[in-house]
Amino acid sequence: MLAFVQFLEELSTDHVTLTPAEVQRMRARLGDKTLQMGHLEEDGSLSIPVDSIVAAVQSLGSQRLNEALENLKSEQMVSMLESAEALVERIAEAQRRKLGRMIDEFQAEPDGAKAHRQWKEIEKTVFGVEYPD
Amino acid sequence: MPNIKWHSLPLGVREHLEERLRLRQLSKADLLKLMEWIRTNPEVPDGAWCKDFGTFKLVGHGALPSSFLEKDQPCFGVRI
Repeated sequence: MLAFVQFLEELSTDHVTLTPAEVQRMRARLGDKTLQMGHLEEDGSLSIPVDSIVAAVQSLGSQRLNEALENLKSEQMVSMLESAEALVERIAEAQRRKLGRMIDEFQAEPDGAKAHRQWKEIEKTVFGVEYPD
Repeated sequence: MPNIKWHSLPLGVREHLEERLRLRQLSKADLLKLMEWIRTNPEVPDGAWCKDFGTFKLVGHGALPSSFLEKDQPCFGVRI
């Protein structure tokens, strides 16, 4: 039950944060494409939007997702590296698609105040910073 | 070689970027390129530098990004 609650808690947040050690480990295995999953903070942690993870997981299919998870847990299972790379790439791709949609909506929005709120989200996504107005 | 401190991007520069994106004076593809580049955590020279994204250029000095230039404005500093 606790695992279920923890899972729901993770889903209820905007971002999941990889620790600096996790980021280093993933970069060592999968290269710098790891960084495209989110924004690298000054302490070396990586903040990844939950909705992008969900989109990537849904697109990957259960077998490849299981392989990817096994690969991320294990140091030896080189044969499954491709699935872990696919997961990382799809998380990054989900964010590129989301930013593209946000820009389309921002440019099509006739209400200036609403458009500015949309811009603040674009700004946060591009720069990884929540700037004050 | 420092990394860019995006927290210090001036308000006026961000407002200008907002306006130009709204008016479609910079392309969606180039803004995506900017995001991908930022996520590589790029190192920049200590002095003046310039990065060309196609429909706009980003210039800065050391860790501090200073402005977005129009595509026809000349770069100054080290091209990266």
